[in-house]
Amino acid sequence: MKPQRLVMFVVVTATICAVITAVSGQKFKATPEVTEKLKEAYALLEQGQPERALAVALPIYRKDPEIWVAWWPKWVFRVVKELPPDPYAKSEIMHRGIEGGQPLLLIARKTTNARRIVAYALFDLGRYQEALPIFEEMQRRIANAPAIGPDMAGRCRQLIAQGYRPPQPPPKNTWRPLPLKFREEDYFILVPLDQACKILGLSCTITTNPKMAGGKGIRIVKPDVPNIVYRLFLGRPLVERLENGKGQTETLAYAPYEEDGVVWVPFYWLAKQAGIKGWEVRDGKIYVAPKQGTK
Amino acid sequence: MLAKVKDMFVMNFRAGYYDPINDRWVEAVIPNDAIESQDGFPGQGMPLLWLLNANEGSGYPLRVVNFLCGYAHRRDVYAAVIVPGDIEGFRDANNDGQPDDVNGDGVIDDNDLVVDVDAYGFTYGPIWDNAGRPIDPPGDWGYIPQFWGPPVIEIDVGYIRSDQQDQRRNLGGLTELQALTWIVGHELGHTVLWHQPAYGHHAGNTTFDCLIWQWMDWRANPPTEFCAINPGCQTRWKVNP
Repeated sequence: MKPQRLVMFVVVTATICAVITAVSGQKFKATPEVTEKLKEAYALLEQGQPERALAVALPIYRKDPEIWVAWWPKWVFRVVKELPPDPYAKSEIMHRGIEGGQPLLLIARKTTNARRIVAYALFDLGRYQEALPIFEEMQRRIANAPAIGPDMAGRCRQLIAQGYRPPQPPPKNTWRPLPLKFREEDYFILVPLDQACKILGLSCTITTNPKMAGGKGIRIVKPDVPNIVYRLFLGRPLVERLENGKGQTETLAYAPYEEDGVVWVPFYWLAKQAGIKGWEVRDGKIYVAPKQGTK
Repeated sequence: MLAKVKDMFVMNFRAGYYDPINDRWVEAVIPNDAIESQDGFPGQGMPLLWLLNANEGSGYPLRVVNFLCGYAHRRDVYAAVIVPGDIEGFRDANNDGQPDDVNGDGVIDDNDLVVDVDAYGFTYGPIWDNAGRPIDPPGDWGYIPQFWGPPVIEIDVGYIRSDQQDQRRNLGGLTELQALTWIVGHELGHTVLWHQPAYGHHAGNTTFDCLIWQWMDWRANPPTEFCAINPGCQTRWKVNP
């Protein structure tokens, strides 16, 4: 092929590819690599590790703040009878969720973007001055939409004016490893419930109960607050908090599941109930900050 | 069903219910109290809501309701449908009432969605069109391609609950019911204020007393009705013109 023809071929091919991409693709759909990074940052933020979440999301935010991702958490595939649709196909998800008898799809899909993760990570770290312009930008984007959102920009201004600094966990050289096995799924750290409860000083019971989602009744009690009972459900990303017989539903960032008789639960939630203020995975172990008043 | 001219019909899709076949309670995602509780909407400046059971029957959930007023069939109306969801949305940068064609392909569809809407609730369309009729039923489900159509309200329950439990954000110590009624009330407002600028967002001075003020700041004493003055949002409803 002559050089001129080769150049023409390349130009025409590239133009066609660009047109096809623009017409059929989602402008902001992420690559698999970016998708994994944002999933990881999302999980870190949800598990109370904003510093690491920021480190993962910031390069993506700086490169393309519009990028967003959608995915089905792995636990969803354990509980649905047929494969869920493309996580970006919103119409199909709503159709199957509302009319197709698969309402779980409506609440199970996860989405996020780099801008949101960076803003909330900065907020959780107490860097309100840096978070403020990002929240202002986010709020500008829904100012004219038929929607209601949190006034995070207003909250930042309030905290800046107060000079507020969030409490810091103890220095990491005081953190100790837990003798607890764990596994990672969708970047969430999951631990065997019965073992974790023993180590963290929580009381838990797991009983067979066909009336509960997943066929198991799971109850957790903090020994120092015996009038509050937490109920977990296999395959449901929520917790029911019963206080003196009155219930309230709370959110769980990852649904528990059972495998070979072991119930796996997100560690961050158990750590929160146990009063642990900081934790991280290092060298294949879970390290936790000492509780206040302990060495 | 006997209803007054400014009453509204609402379906809570995915309310909790008893499943007699499997003899179990299926947990609620959005509690009915968030729609019908007098604790949630004690004020006068809120339409009276008739809660319909979205689990009755089958088929298209945007059911036409036989609206009786004074024992006579007045007209057919649609019920707003409240569904749990994970919200993304379209852009309407120029506020022309039409979603933006983000990828420039001439078609508004799933590919134009963006997820930079940091929202607790989002409304897809009005109860009435501009002529005061019920909206035309889409031939297909068609939420997204026929956006700005069905009066569907998406509520991100997980996000709301997460913030409600976070003491750094829930400064007023609002209960889940207070938070949900605030958001549900706001979005129901969009279905009847759609014809107003910014879909009816309150633009006056008494912002924090009005459900249709556009931000939620987790303060104590949340709004439970629409304002009567400045600019008087409850007088701007198009509930049943």
